Amino acid sequence: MLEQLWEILLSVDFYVAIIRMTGPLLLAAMGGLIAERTGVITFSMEAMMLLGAVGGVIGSGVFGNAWIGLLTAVMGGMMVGLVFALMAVTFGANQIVTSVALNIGALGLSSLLFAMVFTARGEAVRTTITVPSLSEWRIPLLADIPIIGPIFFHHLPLVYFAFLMVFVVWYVLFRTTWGLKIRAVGEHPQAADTLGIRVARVRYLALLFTGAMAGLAGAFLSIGVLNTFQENMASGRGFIAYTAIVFGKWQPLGVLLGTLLFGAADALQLRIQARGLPIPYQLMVAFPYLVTLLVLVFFVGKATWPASYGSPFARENK
Amino acid sequence: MSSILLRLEKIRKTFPGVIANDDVNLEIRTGEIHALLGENGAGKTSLMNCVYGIYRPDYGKIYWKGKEVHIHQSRDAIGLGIGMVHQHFMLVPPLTVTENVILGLPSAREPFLNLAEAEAKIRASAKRFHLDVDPKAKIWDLPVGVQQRVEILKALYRQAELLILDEPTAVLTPGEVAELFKVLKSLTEFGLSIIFISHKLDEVMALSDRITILRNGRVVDTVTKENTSPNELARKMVGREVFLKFQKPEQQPGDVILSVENISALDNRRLPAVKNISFSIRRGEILAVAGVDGNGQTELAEVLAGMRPSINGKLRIHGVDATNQSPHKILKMNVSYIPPDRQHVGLLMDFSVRENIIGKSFWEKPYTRGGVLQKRPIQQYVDHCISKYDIRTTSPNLKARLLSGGNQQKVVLARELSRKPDLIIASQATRGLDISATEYVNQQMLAARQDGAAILLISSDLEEIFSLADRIAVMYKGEIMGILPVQNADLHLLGEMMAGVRRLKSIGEPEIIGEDTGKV
Amino acid sequence: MKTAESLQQTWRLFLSRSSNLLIPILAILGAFLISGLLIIAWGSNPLEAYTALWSGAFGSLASIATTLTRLTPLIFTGLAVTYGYRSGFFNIGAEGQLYLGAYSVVWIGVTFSDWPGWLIILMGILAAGLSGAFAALLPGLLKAGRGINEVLTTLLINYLIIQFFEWGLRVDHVSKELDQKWTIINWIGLKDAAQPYPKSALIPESSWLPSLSSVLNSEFFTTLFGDAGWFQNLVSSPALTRITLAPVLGLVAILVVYFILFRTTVGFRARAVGVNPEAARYMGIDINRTIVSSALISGALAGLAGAMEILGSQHRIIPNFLLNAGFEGIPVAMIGQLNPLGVGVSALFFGALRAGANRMQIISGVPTHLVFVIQALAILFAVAGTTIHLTKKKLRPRIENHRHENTQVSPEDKVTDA
Repeated sequence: MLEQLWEILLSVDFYVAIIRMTGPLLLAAMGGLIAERTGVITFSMEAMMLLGAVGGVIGSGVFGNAWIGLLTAVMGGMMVGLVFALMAVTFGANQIVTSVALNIGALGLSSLLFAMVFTARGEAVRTTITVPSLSEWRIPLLADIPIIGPIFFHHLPLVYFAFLMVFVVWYVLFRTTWGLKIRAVGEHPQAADTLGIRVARVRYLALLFTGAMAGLAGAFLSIGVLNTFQENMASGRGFIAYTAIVFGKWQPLGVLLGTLLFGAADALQLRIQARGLPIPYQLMVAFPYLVTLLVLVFFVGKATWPASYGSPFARENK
Repeated sequence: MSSILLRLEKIRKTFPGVIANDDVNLEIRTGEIHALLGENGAGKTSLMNCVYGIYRPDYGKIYWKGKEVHIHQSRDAIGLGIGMVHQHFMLVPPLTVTENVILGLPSAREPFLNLAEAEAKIRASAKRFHLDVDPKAKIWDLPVGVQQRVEILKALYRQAELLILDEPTAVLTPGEVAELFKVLKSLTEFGLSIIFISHKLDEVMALSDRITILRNGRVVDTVTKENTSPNELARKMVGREVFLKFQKPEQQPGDVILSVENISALDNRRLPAVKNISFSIRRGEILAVAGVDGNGQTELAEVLAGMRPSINGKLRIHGVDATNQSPHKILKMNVSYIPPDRQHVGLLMDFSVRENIIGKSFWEKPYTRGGVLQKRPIQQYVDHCISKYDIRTTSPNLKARLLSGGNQQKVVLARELSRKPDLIIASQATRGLDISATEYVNQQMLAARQDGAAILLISSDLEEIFSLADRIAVMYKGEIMGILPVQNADLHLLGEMMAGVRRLKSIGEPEIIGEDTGKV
Repeated sequence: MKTAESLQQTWRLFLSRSSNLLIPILAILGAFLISGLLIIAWGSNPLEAYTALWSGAFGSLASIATTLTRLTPLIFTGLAVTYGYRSGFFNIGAEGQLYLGAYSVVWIGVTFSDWPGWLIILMGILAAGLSGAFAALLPGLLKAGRGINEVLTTLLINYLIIQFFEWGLRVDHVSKELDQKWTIINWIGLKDAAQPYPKSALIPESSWLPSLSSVLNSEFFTTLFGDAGWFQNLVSSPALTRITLAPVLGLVAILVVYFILFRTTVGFRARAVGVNPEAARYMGIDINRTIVSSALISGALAGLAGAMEILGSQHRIIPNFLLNAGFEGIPVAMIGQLNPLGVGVSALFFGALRAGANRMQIISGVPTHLVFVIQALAILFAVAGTTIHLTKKKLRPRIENHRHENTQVSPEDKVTDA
């Protein structure tokens, strides 16, 4: 059994899978990180991914082009982001309850929309379809490097985009005025307000960005990997992306690590199951959560999470 | 020849049911340090908030450099050249000094930051104004005094010509205070004007050129430093002649209930707030603690109630050591505590009147049997309290939040006093109440005194103190400046003690051995 | 007392009382309205769809049985979230606690299958409550001791439990019939050793909660109504076996939690800490102890949800045996206005929606997924409504006079030097 395990760990295909499975998680998590840094709980990324997935399939199926699918996926995710922003920022509603509601609603709405769009009159309700999907991009020269090549340079464009976004998000957060505003709003919205920063606007824009990225993540699953839409396509990946943010203690590099960890766990447990190895694969799946819990318990510091986390901001009475 | 930089004309600001500022006229000249002096609730901060755009005055005009201006948000004020350093800093703790200073300002190449350039500018600014600060440091790593410098730098970076500081010394050690004053004086040499909000007489005298005293939202007077003294300021701050409202019945105090020996405590910023305090209170006696708010009275009360640890000394209740016991244990010793903040600490605002009244008795028989609350005894008790303490409410089920302030305080009193406590610690029990509510509370205190309770009455209302106290202690900067029987006290003497100018030689006991015993 | 003040107080009392009812009702109506638009977009008739929905939930004995089955676990998870939230402990790990509770019940039933039925039920319920509480213990301790946000901790532990559950479902449980080498793992695992599928054995039938069918078939009722035609029809209906004691226990739970929250010292302390921990401390309440005890009670209630589902309905565990009931406890609690009685009504709403969805699809063609949308809209409207209402309340002026409002300090009153 140990040899089989070793075999898995030494196969190039395993690492390719890690990168591939990390892709959607990374997209969503990077999007979520920006909003989380403004002090908002992005527990609704699951809903954004679901609507992104169905949006992607609809756009691709209706217009016959996967890239249009990406556009509609982004729109789908942003819609959820907008609704969430309305509830959490404008109304100041409880962000967890709102997220749960959106997740439930998206579960139903995504399947409903799919059925609505692709079921012709009189037909039985459609549940699957094949639509144009994205194809992988092989980066010339780099992909030819032995071992490293296929692992890193032969993926869907969304994967490259996801990794690029890690750098972009880091840069925006720490080297631009936008990032400064984002972090200030997350840590001390009142201070930001006195300096003329419009807290609500920052949070709205951040949530729209999250919606867009999580929408792309959903599209990754539907038109990127499976070429179709399934009920509950996201299968909890939105929650995983959220957990990765917690694991990474709201730092871009940490979040990247977190998504890789979850991606690796996922890839490993699938292979263990496939070969029928007597290792409880659930351990693999549970492991990243356990590590995150340990991180929380033992490595809580001064600013693990943004100081204004989950609190709606209201100006003092004038 | 200095000109008038800022002029406030007939400013009036009200909140629901409260007049914060009324008919306030104020003039600030260029290059001067102008102090706004007044008690808690006098309206100093709300006035400056109007200038800084946090509030909008209901009536009145603001003139900047001779022209009328409308300040709708802080951004407008900053744009004019007004900077404000609040009591609670508006700094983002995990960010660096540089990031905090440039926050909200557009950069040369939006959105890219040029941190190096900003750093250089800040360093230059710091040097110029003698505000030593490391631009790369994170705010939460910096001591409070340095954080304050960052706030000042923030204002200067935005070309402030007027700098408003709200109680800046509240968070500083004496050494830092001296530093700050040096900096402020040098700023005026650069042409800046400074408004300095404070309730501390000595500092105001040391620092300011002119002083405006506020009381109850109105301007009492504006004086120049040369023409006044701490005593005069104290008097203006606090009120005019005092007349006895109640004829206290004569009473012989009984045995000692509370004995405090050398108690010391730190405040929330870990600075010494209570320094070696000793006193005792007897049964049937009211010991009032006078003093300008912020001199350690609140912390002292919290120590006695078990809410704050004392770092040395002993306190005994009924002779039993009660030092650093939990609030619950102290409750059980038959001690009642009326906290100064009834909204956030005294009452559970979302609980009903009934639930608040039994809040400290609910675990006792007959209100509970076997963990189950007994409706009938509770109802009887609550009804009794509502009528006895004259709580005006349509139903005992009404949420405390919906009552008026006076009624809320009556609920607190009902809860505390109906337990027939042996010791009552009342901390600013009449703050924010109207006249009738205040009178009512005072009557209840006297009634409790007659019933044999020992009462520690902390108040910044001298009228109230003179009416109720058997003995008066004055606190200044955490120490007791003297304790004297009420017959021997007068406004002049108290004022001097409150200002830290006079200390009685023998602290703690009825005989005064002082320089001159000014009698009424 | 001044009439104006008393009138104002009465109005506010009325508003605050009735808002508890008004907001959820309006929210649900609004949800149905908007979803009606979706139904039209789908091409069906909303009225037809909603009628079918109703009949699917309440139209026949079978429908009612389904509705009751769906709503029972929601009552318990709703109560769990309600109790926790009222005490300031937002328990979103109810899902995992529920799974753990169900696991314990099945474990007892399968391991001690020769015990008398009532004992299995009793011990099973006990085990479910304890295991649910245990799952919430760490988050409670972490919050009390270190101030670590319980939302994060209960969520993470939730995922850990679910993985444990998934694992246990695939590990053979010790079986007396099969002669194999059993290790300690097999005492923990729950898979039916005789089957290849990841599911547990059935718990012994004697431990199934008695159903209405067995009650009505007893001597008492047969002698009373034996020959009546309607009685014969009723008793022979297969749906009757699906109406068990479980929803009754749910009702009992509602009353018990209500009692604890509003009539005992435990509940008083819990609510006080939930309203304002600092003020509660001033009142002498031990905050840390209260937080932990509230976490335990909340977890126990969620564990019981799992127990009810097993004992009353499924009698075994299978993968995804009760999807989402834990998380749904949150909206159930919120729409129920965080009141145990409201939770009952709210659970009814959610249960009815789920039960009626199939019939709606069959009759009007609208996919069952619409039901999720209706739920989501109802929650969103209710939450938005509550927050808007609360904000308005806080900004309403109270009657509070400033200290010396009636003593005019006129300009001439400036104090002159004595």
